[in-house]
Amino acid sequence: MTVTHNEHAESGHHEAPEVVDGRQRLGIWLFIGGDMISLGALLFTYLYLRGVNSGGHWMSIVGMPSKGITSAGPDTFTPTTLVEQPMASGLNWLIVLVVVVSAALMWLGEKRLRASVNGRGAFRGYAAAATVTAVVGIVLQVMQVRNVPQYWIQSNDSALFAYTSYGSVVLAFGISAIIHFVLLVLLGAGLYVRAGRNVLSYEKWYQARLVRFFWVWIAVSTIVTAIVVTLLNTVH
Amino acid sequence: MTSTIEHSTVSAPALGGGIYRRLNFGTALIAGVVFAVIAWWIAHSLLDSDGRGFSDQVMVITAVGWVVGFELGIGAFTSIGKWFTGRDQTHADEMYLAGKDAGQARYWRFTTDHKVVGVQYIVVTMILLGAGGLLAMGIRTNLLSPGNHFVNQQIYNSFLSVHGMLMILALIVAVAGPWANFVVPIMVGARDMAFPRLNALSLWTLVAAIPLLLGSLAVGGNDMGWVTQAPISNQSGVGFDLFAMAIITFTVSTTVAGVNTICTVLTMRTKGMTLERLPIFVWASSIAAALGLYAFPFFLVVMSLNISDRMNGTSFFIASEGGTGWLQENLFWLMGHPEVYVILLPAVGALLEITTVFARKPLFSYRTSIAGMAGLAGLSVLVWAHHMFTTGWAPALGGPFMVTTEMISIPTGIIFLVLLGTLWRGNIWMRLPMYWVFGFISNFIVGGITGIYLSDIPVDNQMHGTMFVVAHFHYVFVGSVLFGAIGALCFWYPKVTGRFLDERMGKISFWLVFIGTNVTFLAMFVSGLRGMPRRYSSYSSIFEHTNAVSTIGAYVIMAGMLVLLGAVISSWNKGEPSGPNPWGSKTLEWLVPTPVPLENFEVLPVITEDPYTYGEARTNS
Repeated sequence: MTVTHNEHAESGHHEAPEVVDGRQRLGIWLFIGGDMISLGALLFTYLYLRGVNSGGHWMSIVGMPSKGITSAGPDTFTPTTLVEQPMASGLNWLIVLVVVVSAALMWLGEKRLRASVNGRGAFRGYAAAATVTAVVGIVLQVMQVRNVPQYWIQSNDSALFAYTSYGSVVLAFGISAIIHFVLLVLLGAGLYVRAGRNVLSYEKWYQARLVRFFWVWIAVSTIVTAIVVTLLNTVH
Repeated sequence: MTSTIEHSTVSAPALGGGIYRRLNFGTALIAGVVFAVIAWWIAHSLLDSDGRGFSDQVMVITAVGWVVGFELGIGAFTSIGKWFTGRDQTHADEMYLAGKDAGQARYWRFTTDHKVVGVQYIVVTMILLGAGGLLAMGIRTNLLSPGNHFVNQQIYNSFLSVHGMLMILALIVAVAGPWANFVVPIMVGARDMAFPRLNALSLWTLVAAIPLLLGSLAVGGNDMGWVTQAPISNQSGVGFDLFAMAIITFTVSTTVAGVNTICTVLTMRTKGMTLERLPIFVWASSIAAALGLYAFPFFLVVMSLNISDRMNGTSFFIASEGGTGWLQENLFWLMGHPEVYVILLPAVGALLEITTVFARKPLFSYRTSIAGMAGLAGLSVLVWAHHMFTTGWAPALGGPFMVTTEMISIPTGIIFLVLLGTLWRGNIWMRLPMYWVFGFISNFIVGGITGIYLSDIPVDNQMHGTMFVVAHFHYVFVGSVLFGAIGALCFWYPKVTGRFLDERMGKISFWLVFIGTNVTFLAMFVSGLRGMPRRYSSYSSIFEHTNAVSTIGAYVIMAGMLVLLGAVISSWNKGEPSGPNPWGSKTLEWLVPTPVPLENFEVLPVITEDPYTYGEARTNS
């Protein structure tokens, strides 16, 4: 390999922001790609369990509603087959709406930041609004997770809490969403603070775009999940 | 400390700049333990001790506490904290993190210099291989004779599980960890990895995972095997939780590392370093990293769901509640088979690199070898169900999966031909690294061809679950990947240390490991062909002789590895000086001084030729 020395090559510490941005953009897309595979694995889980419907237990379980247990404890209950209904789709789509609005706010904020030297204040406002909206998303998602029905089931000589397989995957989607929304809140708060300290500005807006990529991906993943969970929930 | 620096002529780290400049491995251990204890206490206090999965919940939360504490203690979150507060790293901070003038201390802390991270990976790999090897000795000692109870059955099963996972982790990082970090940035003409802090994060996250995996043995172990078979995994003790948390932690580490490798190769190549001029090891590392990005999220998900079934009352894998064990198998093997090539490709890339240097020939059919690697990666995501031929899952898909599995022998064969074509009529210089190349060729033939047998459904129906399968994949992992990893170590050792790895001890090690590998696993093939099932701690006397031979062979491997360890340690400071380019190689890492300067190149090079323009006179060491 023949090598000549490039006297004009730039040191790693003096790379142009565009160069660093290009690298970070690829990095964030690769991370999003990994996240897509994770979501794909969860969707595969959902569709697989729905498809095989083991023992007819996709949405049914042999047990007793958890709210029916009294202080007498589970020893007294007689297990019966309980059939669950799909969870109300309204809350699901409300969460989608909130996250989409949140992503839109972040996108608008980024546009304002890039549009003019005076856009930093507006960006902070949009970032704060997007972050607060993501917090609302977390609250709604927690509500949904708490609404997934739990049952008492008999296992050997003891009674245990359990979810149907449908409930299990909805729970997994919910917990995954909460983790992602928490990330959004942290990133949004970080951008807000950084813009306040003038680290993000009209000239230095690249990180806002990186965060926006992730934000929009989360919105898209929420939509995809909602479509699958609300349209493909019953076995037949 | 300031006055010390002012009055001392010895370079010492500047310790100003806050507590984060005092963080190191020691503080990481302390913080990890403290956070684990706090997490354990909080979990005990807040959770319902009569609830489902209480012990599992406590164990998982404790493990999370350990990882978070360890990362805080090593300083992994310092930059993130600064980002959130809008106080970015200064140039002085960056230099501190890169380990400038820090001497040996930089190896014990969160250092971003890719060469330091590479050396740290060498040490971590050795620890993983050593721990996994000791467990292998325990397993083989137990199997020395029928009814031998060196360990009880529960411990034996846990040894199997942890040995399997330790070795898988070790081999995933054995080449990609040390060498994709140490040499790849230099090979492409970069000053560092694309994301130096993420680079250090991936290393220390891996380190945080190891105590979880070993700790699982201390709390009852995981007796389900490394594949963590559900739903039986629900019956395992809390050791399973630590085992699974170790894997989850590891997936974070390897994902971060994979992103970093790909970004480095795609965005940091120096001028003239076109994709067609990339050294083959860079291609191999990049393809493996991309494949890892696809595979390891499945690992993360399947382990998370496994833990959830144990502690949350979900029923992903519990058939009586609507789940199915087949789902676990599918998710696991969607990761599991690509992972084989995540492990194999960097080792093959390193061996091709060695071959072209020591055969003094251009790599035979450079583009074809890249196509072969890409073909391996592409096909590897379409073969996972061959691990499930005997489980009864989707029999109609057996044929297609048999075909895809057999097809994978085509790109494998192509890579093999590239290796042989490069050797053909080469002016072969038989130094230590080449021994491992020839060992690989011999072993990989056996491991590869027995894989083709097993891809055939009728044969698999007979062989599945026998020692034949164990022998097959050990020929691939030990006989091929480990040989590649050791070959890479022998090859690049002079670049890391400025000294040759002791050639005499290295050759003794080679012959011991080579003979031991073949004795151990050829005898294991015979055990399998006679019908000996795997994972059994005791067996019928008809398998006695072959098992005794396998055990003796395993001891010989261990002896060889100890000799290698001795060579690595003794040569580090006392080996024969090698100079910057002892092999007369033409790739960039050999054209920089040894030790390699902090930012690799004083001025970035411009590349005007292919990497393997050999054919000129040999450079003697």
